[in-house]
Amino acid sequence: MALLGKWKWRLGRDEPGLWKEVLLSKYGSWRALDRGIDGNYDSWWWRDIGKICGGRQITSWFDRNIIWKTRIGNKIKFWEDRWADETPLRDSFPRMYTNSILKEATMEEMGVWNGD
Amino acid sequence: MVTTLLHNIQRNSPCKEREDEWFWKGEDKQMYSVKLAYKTLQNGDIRQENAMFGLFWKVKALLIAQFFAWRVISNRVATYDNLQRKGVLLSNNTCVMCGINVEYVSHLFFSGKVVAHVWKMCDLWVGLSSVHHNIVVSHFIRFELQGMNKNCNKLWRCIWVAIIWCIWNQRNNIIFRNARVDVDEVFTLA
Repeated sequence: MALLGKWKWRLGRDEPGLWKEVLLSKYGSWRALDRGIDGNYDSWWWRDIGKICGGRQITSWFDRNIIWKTRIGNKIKFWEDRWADETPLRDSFPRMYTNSILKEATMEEMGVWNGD
Repeated sequence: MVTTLLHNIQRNSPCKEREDEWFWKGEDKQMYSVKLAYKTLQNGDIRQENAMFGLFWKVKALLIAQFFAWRVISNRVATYDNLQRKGVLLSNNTCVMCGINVEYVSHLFFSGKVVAHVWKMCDLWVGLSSVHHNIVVSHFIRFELQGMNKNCNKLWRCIWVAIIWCIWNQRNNIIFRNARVDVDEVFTLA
C-alpha cells in the first residue's frame, strides 16, 4: 500500500513526466482516482491505486495525511480538501456546505482574496 | 460560525505566484516517503483489524458459525444489497426483520430494530449495559475496550459468533420457510 500510494502522491505533485501526461490525457486529473471506478475502461493499475488510497472516504489514510498549501488556488477544492484546518471545511461547517451551490468548486472559483 | 470560518480562511493567505501544492504530514521535508506511509498504515486501521482477527480466530465456536461470522465481518454475505450489486434482480430489498430499511450487513445484524433488541437481551444476560456500535469490527471488540476480565471477554466472543449465526438462520427461515419474526427464539437458540 505504501508503495502504491506514492504514485498518487506523485500524480498530485508538480513534477513533469511523460508517464503523467499519458495518464492525465486519459483520466483528466488525479481527482478521477477519488471518484471510484468509471465504467470498465480504467486500467487495473489505476483502479488499485484509487482503491488503496481510500478515495473520498473520511477514513482514507492518504487524505488524512495530506496538507494543502494555498497558492493561487487553482487545485484546492474549497469545501472538500484539508487546507484551512485539520478537517475539510465541509465537515467543520456542514450546514453551510449543504447550502452551497458550489460544492466541488476550487478556491479560485469561489472568489478573490481581498488584501492580506 | 461565520467568524470561525473567516478566521480559518484568513490564516492561510495565499501567495499568488505559484500553483497549489500538497505536502505530507509528519516530517520536516513534508514529502511522501514509502517509509513514512508504511508507518502511518501500521499505526492505523490495519493494526486494529489485525488485532481483531487474531482474537476472532481464537474463539471456540461451531466452525460453520465462525466462518459465517468472518463473512459478516468482511461483508461477504448474500444480503439484499450485496445481491443487487451482483446484478441479481429482486422484487424488494427491504430487511425482512423490520420491513422498513434496506437490508445491508450492519443493519441486518446490528442496528435493525429487532436485532438491536436481541443484543440488548444479551447485555442483560451478561449483566452489562453499553453502547452498541454499528461498525462490525468495533461491535466485535467493544468488550476489550472496557477492561473486562479475560473469561468474560472469551464468553462474549463466543456469544457474538453464536448470535450472528442465529440471526442469519432466522432471517433465512423467514424468507424461505415463512417463519415469523421472533426475537426470543433467536436469543434462546443462541
